Amino acid sequence: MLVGLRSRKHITSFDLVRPAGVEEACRALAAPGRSVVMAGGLDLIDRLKGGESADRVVHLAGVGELSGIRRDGDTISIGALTTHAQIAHSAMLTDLLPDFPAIWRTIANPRVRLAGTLGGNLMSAAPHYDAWPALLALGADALVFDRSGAPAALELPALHDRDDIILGQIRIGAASFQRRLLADRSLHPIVSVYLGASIDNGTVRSARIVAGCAHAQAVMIGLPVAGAPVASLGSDAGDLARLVASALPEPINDGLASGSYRRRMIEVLARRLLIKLGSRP
Amino acid sequence: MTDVPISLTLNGKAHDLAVAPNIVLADLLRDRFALTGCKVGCDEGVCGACTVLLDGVPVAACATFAFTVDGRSVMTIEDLGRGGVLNRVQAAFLVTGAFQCGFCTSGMILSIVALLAHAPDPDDETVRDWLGGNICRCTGYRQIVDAIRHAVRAEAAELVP
Repeated sequence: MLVGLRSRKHITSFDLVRPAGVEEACRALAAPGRSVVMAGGLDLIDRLKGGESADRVVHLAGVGELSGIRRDGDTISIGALTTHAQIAHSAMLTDLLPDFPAIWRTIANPRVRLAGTLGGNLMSAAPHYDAWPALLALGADALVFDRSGAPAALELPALHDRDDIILGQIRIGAASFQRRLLADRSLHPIVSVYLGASIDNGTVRSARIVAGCAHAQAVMIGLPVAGAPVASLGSDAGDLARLVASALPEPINDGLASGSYRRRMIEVLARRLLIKLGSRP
Repeated sequence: MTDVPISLTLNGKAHDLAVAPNIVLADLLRDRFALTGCKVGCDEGVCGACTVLLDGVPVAACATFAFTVDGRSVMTIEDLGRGGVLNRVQAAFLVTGAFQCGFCTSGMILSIVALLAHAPDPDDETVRDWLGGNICRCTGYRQIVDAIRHAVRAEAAELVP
């Protein structure tokens, strides 16, 4: 495909389906021909301009059950159609998981945050998008619907390259212990680093580093810190960050940066985040 | 492909029409309504030149399918100055010289109108955040930020009894 042919004028024709519920959406997805799902539409339109074609676009805006942020016991559910702005300003998330909306207030720009959805960001899976690293660091999973309309729980990595499902909700644990999410996006889109940690009375239950922008998909590395005092993360930050950098697969080499630079910067940013968490748990 | 019937309020006037599903809002505005103040720059939803207000919220018209505005209100730069009187943001752009080539200006002004509706006296961080969605290759943004401050002062002056 020639770059010069990329244009809104070249979006091929398609039939539009506007389902009112998940079952109807799944039926449209299962119909003969190629169906693609549209949430906010930002990424889909971009792909269609680039030459991708579809027989049918299933526009999910009318499927109310895919919107909203809810708490059900120890789980927070975020509907796939929830916009970034709704996440950024959610009172519930600010109360239960304050780091997440605080970070989400800084991604992209208001125009994108008002139109773009969490589900769209996740399913388009662009390496520099933030939903993957953030949600992996939070230990989230997904509720999806297959073409028959049957719901199923999936680990996030299993969502990659799945155009045969409809993403319903992202689910994040909201247990009684503290859940922290820190991010350093200062080198975005060369690298971004997210740190997720579960903390119980000053002791780390689990922690993980996720590197974004540096691979075809975000890479998560678990940290061997279960049972350690949170305050010790600062003094151990250098060793832990080196461990993360050495455990990463080879990062991307491209016009923005070399793979070795990306690996080194992931180590630097991971060390900074661990020091930050250790000093301000 | 079947055309989709839509109803929208465009610059204060109601319209009923049918659109092909694969037409983006920028082309609907420019080709059918001759509202060429909606400029298409990058055609990727990044540069912000095509920004229009959808129910008061800024959207990139090049990255929005026309059928999604069904039942909604669209405002373009052509509706901003009414009765020959410029909006305070337009006036502030003139006073501070906040444009050179002008290609980004209509999108920039509509984004700033939305910003000031959201935050009547925005701090520097908020201004940077909102201007992050509108690219200007001429001014370096200094005069645009000056225009925002000028518009805020103009609003405050109008409110003084």
